[in-house]
Amino acid sequence: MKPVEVLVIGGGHAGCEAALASARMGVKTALVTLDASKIGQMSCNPSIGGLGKGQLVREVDALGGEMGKAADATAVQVKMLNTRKGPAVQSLRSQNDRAAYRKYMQRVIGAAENLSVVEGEVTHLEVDDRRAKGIRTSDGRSISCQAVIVASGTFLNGVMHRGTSNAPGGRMGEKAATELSDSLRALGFHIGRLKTGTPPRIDGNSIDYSELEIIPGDEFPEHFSHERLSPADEQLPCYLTFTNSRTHDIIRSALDQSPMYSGRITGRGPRYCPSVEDKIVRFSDRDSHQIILEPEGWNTDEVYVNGFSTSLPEPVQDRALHTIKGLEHAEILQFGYAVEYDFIPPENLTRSLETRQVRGLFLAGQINGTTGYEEAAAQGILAGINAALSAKNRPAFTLDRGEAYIGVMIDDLITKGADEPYRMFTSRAEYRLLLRHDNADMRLSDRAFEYGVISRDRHEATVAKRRLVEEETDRLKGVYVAPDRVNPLLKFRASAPVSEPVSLHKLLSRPEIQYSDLATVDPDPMGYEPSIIGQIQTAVKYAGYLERQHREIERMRSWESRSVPADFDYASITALSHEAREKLSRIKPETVGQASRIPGVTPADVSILVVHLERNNASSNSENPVFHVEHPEA
Amino acid sequence: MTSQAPNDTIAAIGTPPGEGGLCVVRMSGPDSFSIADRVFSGAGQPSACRTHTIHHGYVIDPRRRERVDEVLLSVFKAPRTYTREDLIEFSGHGGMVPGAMILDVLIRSGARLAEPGEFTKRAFLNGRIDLLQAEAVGELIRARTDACARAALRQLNGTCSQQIDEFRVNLIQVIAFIEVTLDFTEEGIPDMEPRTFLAQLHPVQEALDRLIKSSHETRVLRDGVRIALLGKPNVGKSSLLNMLASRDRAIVHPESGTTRDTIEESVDIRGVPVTFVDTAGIRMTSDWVERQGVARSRKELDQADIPLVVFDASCRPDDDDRNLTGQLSRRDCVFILNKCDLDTYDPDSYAEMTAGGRCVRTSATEGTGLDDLLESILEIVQYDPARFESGLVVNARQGDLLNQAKASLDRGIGVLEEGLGAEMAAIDLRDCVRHLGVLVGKEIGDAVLDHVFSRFCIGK
Repeated sequence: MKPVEVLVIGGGHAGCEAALASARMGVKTALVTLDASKIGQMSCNPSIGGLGKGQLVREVDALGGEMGKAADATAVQVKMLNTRKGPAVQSLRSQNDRAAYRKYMQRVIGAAENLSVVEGEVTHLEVDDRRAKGIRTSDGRSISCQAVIVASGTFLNGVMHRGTSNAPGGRMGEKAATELSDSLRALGFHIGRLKTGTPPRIDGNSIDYSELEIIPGDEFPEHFSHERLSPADEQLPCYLTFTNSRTHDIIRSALDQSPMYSGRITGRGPRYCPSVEDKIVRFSDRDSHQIILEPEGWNTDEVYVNGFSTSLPEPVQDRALHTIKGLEHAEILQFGYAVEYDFIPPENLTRSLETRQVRGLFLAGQINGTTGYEEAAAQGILAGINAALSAKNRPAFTLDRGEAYIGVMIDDLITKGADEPYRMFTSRAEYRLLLRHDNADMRLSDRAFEYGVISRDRHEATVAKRRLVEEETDRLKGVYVAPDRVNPLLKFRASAPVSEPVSLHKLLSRPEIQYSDLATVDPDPMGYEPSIIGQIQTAVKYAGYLERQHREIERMRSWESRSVPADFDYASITALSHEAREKLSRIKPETVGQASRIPGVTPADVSILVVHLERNNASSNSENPVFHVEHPEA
Repeated sequence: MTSQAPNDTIAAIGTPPGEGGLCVVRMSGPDSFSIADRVFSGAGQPSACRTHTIHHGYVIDPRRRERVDEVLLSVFKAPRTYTREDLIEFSGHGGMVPGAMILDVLIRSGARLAEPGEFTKRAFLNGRIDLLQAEAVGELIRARTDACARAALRQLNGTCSQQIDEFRVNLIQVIAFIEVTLDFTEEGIPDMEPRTFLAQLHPVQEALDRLIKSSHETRVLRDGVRIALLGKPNVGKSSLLNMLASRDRAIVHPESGTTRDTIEESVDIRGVPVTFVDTAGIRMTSDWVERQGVARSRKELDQADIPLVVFDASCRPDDDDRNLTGQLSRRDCVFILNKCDLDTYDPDSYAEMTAGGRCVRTSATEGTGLDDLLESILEIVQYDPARFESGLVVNARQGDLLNQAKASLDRGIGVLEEGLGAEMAAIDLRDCVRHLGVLVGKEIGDAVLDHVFSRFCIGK
């Protein structure tokens, strides 16, 4: 077949973003998938975003990605989460029309320039002199390329489990990719095993909604993407119900038939996305767990039973579901199952998601031990950009912990590995007051434009927005209002009165005062749009903490700027602790900063590492060594 | 690790501990000159001095605006310095006390106490030191860090480190609860109000407070108690000082207002080093020299751990006496009703003014009432030998960490009390856990998330 420059294996959320990003950068790209009609499939819940994940979607959008647009265009419900909390921990989540989402993505991929879709199973990676050269498929075709991205999801040696039966497959009704694992193993990659699961889908016509609590969408739905593709005027509701002690009794008595508990599954599952049998075993004191019934789309009666992920045998799933209020007569359309799949411990990766063993080979999504569409898409877009850069022999595009959740995720993966499927939480981001969903474009626009993944117009619009926010925040500092003018407002807002003139900035820093309140006392009120006002408000309310986080990021970066050679010989440094030697040799940190974040590497170990790095550098330093002797200036 | 980033400014005593003729305090980092400008008083500003020059002057405590020590200041501007950063050396008087005082001023002015071997480390980091020494210094850092860790653990006796670890565990629990309300609000777990967190944080705050106080008490043993002798002129302060020190030091003169400067005397009261400071009499005066003395007296009063207020009880109290006690109403102090040897002695006329305070009747000229006075002082110091031995002995670094932990915790509690976002409080609480972790050698890592997952049923 005709050669391409970048080849992407897999058409899931990582593969789609990777292929589109690479093609957008003007690089000839092919996406190889087992089944082109499943490109963009949401394999699990019909939902995008959520706490921590919504930030990732906005970052993907800021880098020119597609996920946010697809989610906006196909939303059946949109909700801003955590609105009672501060802006740094709010996130957007949408319920989506599963079929429409897939079709949207397939349409975009079909229309993209420089991007072709190939159906087939990749069985071999062609590598020459530790550099990716191309792939071969099971039917004997080969495609040569300069860079390969593997985004195999749960398909890599996937095995599906339900009760005592199991069968190879990556998703219900779809086959697995079995030979690619062997090809990767032959290249020297260590292969691990992880597990995830999905709940049953039921027929909405068989649900009795009459006594269930309705969870509606937001009255004024926001958008993930800057393009603000309008969702339909209407929204569909979700419904809330609960398991009960009868449900738990049925599940408990059938645990011996659960592949998790009978030892048939050895891969580790995520603690934060447990199966219902896990919840019942681990939290045996609770007699009820929350279940959310989520619509699968506009034109389908299918309903997703969120909270009931299970791999118990079909009759047990049936009986257990029927004990739940509203589901007494529920008809299951597709039973829940667990899937085990291969992953490659991500410590092998560099910050650009390229493998150390094979240049030009990039990994993205579940193969790196993550879970979730958003985590996959975020890695996909970064891998796509970097594969394109690699094909053009240009330096890599990386993000650090102070720039983006994407940076946090990749640093966590390559530094700490993945003992369990990795999901994003806002608490993983130590600089989360700065890394908000609402400022993703302002944070990433400069970098995105520099690497050519967003247009000049879009970049300039963001720069203008950033300037407005800065100017208005500065103006608020300079405008003082007299006590007699401001005290009525303070009284009205139950805020302590003032006795001296006070700046608008100071007023707004009070938790009781909103930007809109200032208009009543501001001699020259500005009429900004809500997104700007939100930024100003956040900048003022978090002010001291934002400055602290900026300072901490500066400190972090000063350590990140000290790189460690990839071939550094840790074994010969006897002063290092045994544990540090082992971990440093395995993880091969790219920088001193990364080394310091490896669990088990102490500050003393880092000091020793620095000393030895300097010793190596000193060999090339021609200056005479001087030990604490200074000479006055001549 | 973050505490060692090379772009902050560090300071440490550079000479070995013990009595010596000279004590050198070294400071390195980008703020060295701005800090030195604030604390050094000499012919010129250190930042304006040429590099590799030496200047005479004084280290000034900017808070108290007083001289800490007379020093020679050596100016080294980057990059031709030991660390390749801006570097200042203060050569002060020997002994650890002046050095520690200079160091204290530098830290309060923005420098951070250096880690063991950190100057040498920076020298390496900045490519300063020769390659032959690298290996040896690597071993040295290892040895010193481990030795410090061992020493720290030894010093923090079992109970204390256990207590600090309990604080950490409690705080991690609270942070986990906070994170649940931030990160997992969709899990059907009831939202928790700030007062729930505060109810858990306040006991930790109080316990940490007590721990820091007990470390202060222990410091009393090491650093002593400062006692100011106050009173209007000619009530017998200097005679009392002489009585306490049993030798003639202050100029004692029957004419009012002889002592025009403060005079210090250190004595040992049952093992507690006590410094008595005699002050010029506090009263209205037109004499300029004496006015300077009076100003100093007021300052001594502010700095003293315990004020001893001396009255001439052979005369009735006047406005000066009343003004003086008016200023002291809230402080622990001892009232001395002096001159009990005189016929006109009438302590009852002072009863109203001294109500609620400790009163001691003395005659400085005849040496009576000394035991009562010492007893009252020890009562205020609350000296209990048994307690001191079990108390937390902290070095400067440990004290620094405890105070930083306390400051972070206070800030976090303040945020929650003001109704500001818990996501801000979480930052302060994590800082607090990190500082405490350094004390007991534990890192925060993924402890918070681990706690969340073990405690809450998270996930769909």
